[in-house]
Amino acid sequence: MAEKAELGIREFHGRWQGFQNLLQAELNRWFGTRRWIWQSLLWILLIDGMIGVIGIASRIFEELDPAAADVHQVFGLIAAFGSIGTVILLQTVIIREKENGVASWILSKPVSRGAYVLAKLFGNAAGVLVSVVLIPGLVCYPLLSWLFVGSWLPFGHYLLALGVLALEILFYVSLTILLGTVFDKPAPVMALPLVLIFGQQPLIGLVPKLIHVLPYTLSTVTAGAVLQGEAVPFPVPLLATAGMIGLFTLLAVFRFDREEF
Amino acid sequence: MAELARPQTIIKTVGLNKTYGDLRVLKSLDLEVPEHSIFGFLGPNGAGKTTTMKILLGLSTPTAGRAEIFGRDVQQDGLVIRSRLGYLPQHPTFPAYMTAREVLAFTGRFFFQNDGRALPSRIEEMLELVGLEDKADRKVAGFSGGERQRLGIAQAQIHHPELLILDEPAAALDPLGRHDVLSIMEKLRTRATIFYSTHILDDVQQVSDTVAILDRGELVAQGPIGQLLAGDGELVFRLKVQGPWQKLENKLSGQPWIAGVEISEGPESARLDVYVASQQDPGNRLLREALSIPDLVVLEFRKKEIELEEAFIEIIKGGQDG
Repeated sequence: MAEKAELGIREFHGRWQGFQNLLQAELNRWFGTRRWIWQSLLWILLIDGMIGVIGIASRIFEELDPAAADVHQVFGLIAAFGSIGTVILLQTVIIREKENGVASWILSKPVSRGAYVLAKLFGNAAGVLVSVVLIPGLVCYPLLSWLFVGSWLPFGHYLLALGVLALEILFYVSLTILLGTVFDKPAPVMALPLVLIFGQQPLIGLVPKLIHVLPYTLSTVTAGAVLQGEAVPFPVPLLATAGMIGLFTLLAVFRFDREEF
Repeated sequence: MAELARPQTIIKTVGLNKTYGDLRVLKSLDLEVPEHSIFGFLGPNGAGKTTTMKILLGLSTPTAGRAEIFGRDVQQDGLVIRSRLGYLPQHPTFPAYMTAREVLAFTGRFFFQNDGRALPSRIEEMLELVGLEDKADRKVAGFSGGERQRLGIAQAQIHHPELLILDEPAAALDPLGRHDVLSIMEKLRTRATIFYSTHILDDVQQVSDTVAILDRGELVAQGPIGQLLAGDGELVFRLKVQGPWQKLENKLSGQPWIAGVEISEGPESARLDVYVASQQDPGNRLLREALSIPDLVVLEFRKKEIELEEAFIEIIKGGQDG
């Protein structure tokens, strides 16, 4: 009896029942193991390694004028790599658990389906933002400053620019999670965001108004402007991307609520 | 005279239907599971047992009809209902990166707030219950089917639920493992109602007090196991004899108190199932008749009990023929 009182039955939070426990498990999966370290090292190697090679090559072979360095393009490259990495990392997050029965086991507990989806979203967003954006981004700071600009970039502006980049990555996190609730196989979950990543530029060429909606300009234009302390040229993509993240999240919860196990 | 308290109904389904496209998996299922029963939910593969369980757990939505647990609707009050029950899936799968202890802690935190102090002792209790103490800190990815099943029972029990829903709890186990699982179920009988599906009829006969038989989505029988095994009240005696068994058959055939004799002849002996019509001390009369035949040796004589397997086959076949 005393043990039962000591354990204390959980209070019900309705729609978010089980969220705290699920989020803790997702975060543990990233930060309670060495996963985040290995992922950070991998993305440092890929993103920063590539930027380092490009920077050094530019200096050696083209005798690049630091003032002319196109930081915008570099950020675009980081975003493309980060987005692809995000999609690859998260393609099976929900599908695998739907397939192997872990999802239905969890949902047989007092857990709401919304809590399950949100825990997957927040937990994996945290893991990806730390391992794919923050740590490789911080390592990139001296590379970008000295190989492309020739002096230290303003650190505050740089962090803000990384924030813009993080928003773009979050767009792909939420899209991948949404697709995971829709499909039962990983192929479309990976293919559709990849088509979007590679197809945005030509798509904007065909329909120029899409520049205001698609997240493409966040890294190629907005982040660069923020980095250089300029006024953001198109604030709409920032808002549109944030809005789409919200929409994808709602759709994912809505779809998962109707999943049959 | 004081009225005896009637057992409360823990699970109740009314006209439950489930359709996938053109396939009707459940056909108007009416089920009642009494409190503190070990309720065996039987049926051949594909009968709809797992679908029924999934509807009860809110993992699947019925096409029509309704289901209640603890008097609450499973669609409306799923969260509250699931806080009071434990579930073991047919093929238990847990996050592979967790150890058995972590799986139990993770499960426990869905039910309890103060997990820091009392939960570890509850986890130890559960590990001991299923005999996994020595494997508690091993990753579940390396567990055998039997070990996963044991862990599945432990996690279903972590919050001492009032109702356990077990989907084929012993199917993946060797005879020793099966025996252990049945013992655990027996132990839990006092504090919980157990609703479990199986196709292992021996297990049902061993532990269940109430059964329901499902065939192709339809409930074909439901009630206390004793009632099911009693069949239509027919009395049958089995004799195993050596010698001129035909003489006994001829003698019995002319008797008005004998309804029929079924014979299966072996190389050295014959087995006679004698169906008795009259209830007046038929055993003694039958034995006397057998012993009165010269050279006939009676090797075995007993009242034949109906096995659940026979009753099950008869009910399923009856349903298919009808």
